[in-house]
Amino acid sequence: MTKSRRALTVTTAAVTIVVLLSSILSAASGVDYPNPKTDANDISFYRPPARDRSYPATPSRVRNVILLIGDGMGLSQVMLARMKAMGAEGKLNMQLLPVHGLIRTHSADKLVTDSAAAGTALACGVKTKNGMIGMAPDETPYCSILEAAQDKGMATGLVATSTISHATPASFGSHVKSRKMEPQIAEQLIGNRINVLFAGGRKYFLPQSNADSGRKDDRDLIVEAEEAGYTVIETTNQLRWVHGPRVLGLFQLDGLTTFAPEPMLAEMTKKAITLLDETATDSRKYGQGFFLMVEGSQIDWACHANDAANCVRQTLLFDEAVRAAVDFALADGRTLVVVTADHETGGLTIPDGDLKGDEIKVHWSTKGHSAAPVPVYAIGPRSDLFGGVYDNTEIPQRIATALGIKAFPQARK
Amino acid sequence: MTARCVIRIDATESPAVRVGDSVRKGQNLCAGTKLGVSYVSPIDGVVQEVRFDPAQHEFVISVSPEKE
Repeated sequence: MTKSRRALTVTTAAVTIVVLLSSILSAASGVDYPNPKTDANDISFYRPPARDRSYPATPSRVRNVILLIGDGMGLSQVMLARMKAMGAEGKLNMQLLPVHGLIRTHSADKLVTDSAAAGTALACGVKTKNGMIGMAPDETPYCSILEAAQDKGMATGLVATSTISHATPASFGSHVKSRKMEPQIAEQLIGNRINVLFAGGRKYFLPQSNADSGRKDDRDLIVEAEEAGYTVIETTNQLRWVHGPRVLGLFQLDGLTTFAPEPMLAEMTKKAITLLDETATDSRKYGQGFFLMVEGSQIDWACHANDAANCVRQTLLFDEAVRAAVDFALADGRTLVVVTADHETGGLTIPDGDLKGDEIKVHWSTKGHSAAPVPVYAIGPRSDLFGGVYDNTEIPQRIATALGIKAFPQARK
Repeated sequence: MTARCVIRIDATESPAVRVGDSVRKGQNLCAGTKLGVSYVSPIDGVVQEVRFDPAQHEFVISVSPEKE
């Protein structure tokens, strides 16, 4: 990192949300969206933070890193969720983190990125073309920060509410030309021996002979994972009781529904932290701490449908996962937590509303992604590195700096 | 008779049509040029469905011939 960039990071300025005046409430979207099984307006699960002051800074050496990514979560998504949960005076858990920043999100060839190129930027520290996973535009694979952490002797994990082979988690543990190669991505995730994998997407692990399979070959990745030492689980009850250095939790054939009886994102996050911390403490091989990436995958899906209620719900589910990470970091004192997004979805603005958050008007300018910058929030040792306005490729570069990893970004050998 | 056509658009982009819209063969179904790819209707017809497919991260647009 250059001196000038490092100088920028010292700032811990608060992010200002600019609310553009625009037309009133979005019209009916005309898009059919798979209806949740229960009420998307029910946000009673959310517990507003007990404090309204920022969490304290905790200077010390970085042992663990937890990176949380809200897919499609721009500043307005955060604001809308905050308004609906707590009104104008409230703050989400992520907004209580002491260091704030903004990142730009363009891909190598387009102003508006997709989750594959943005995930690759956040994982590998390089720009690539939309659709590509873990490699540069010339198809050179690049080492992800998760793989660099593995090489350093850290335990690693991925948690998401999409399929585990969806673009964002895929970017941290695989290298393929197209995000649509989910069967190959699943193979690489297991092959990379990532310690903890919690999400949906079981269909890409089943052989084609199984009626539920999403594969076109006879490989049974469930069996292959068990042979590689993974404990494979499918239910919330199993999640509560499982222990071991390698756990593969696939709670749906496809993406999660985010409703019971599946585990909530926060529950998966807590368990992943527990398992990784145990592994890093007990194992000589993984004794250097842990790296965990957690994705709130379905903020993006809600915004593609221009569904404000589900956008709020998914953002608050994600914020509960942030709380789980921060609770651990505050108790541990050696854990850096970074919260960010891959891009904004929906071109969401909030042209009007009341202070209590009861009558919020929203406007969607697109059903696709936008080029709006997205927020960064951080806490923990070396969180000072994450303030300022910078590029999404610098997120893993700054994590590498915090971990003392010098050769990053680098092509994969 | 021309069969119903299904067009899939990467959801980074936004559909330019709604259910009930009449479209002409060759008409752009995509609102912008974020992807550098053009998505056009292969037939004259009426948009029957615009659906987001989260698994594929695509919009699915279904167009029926004008006189089905």
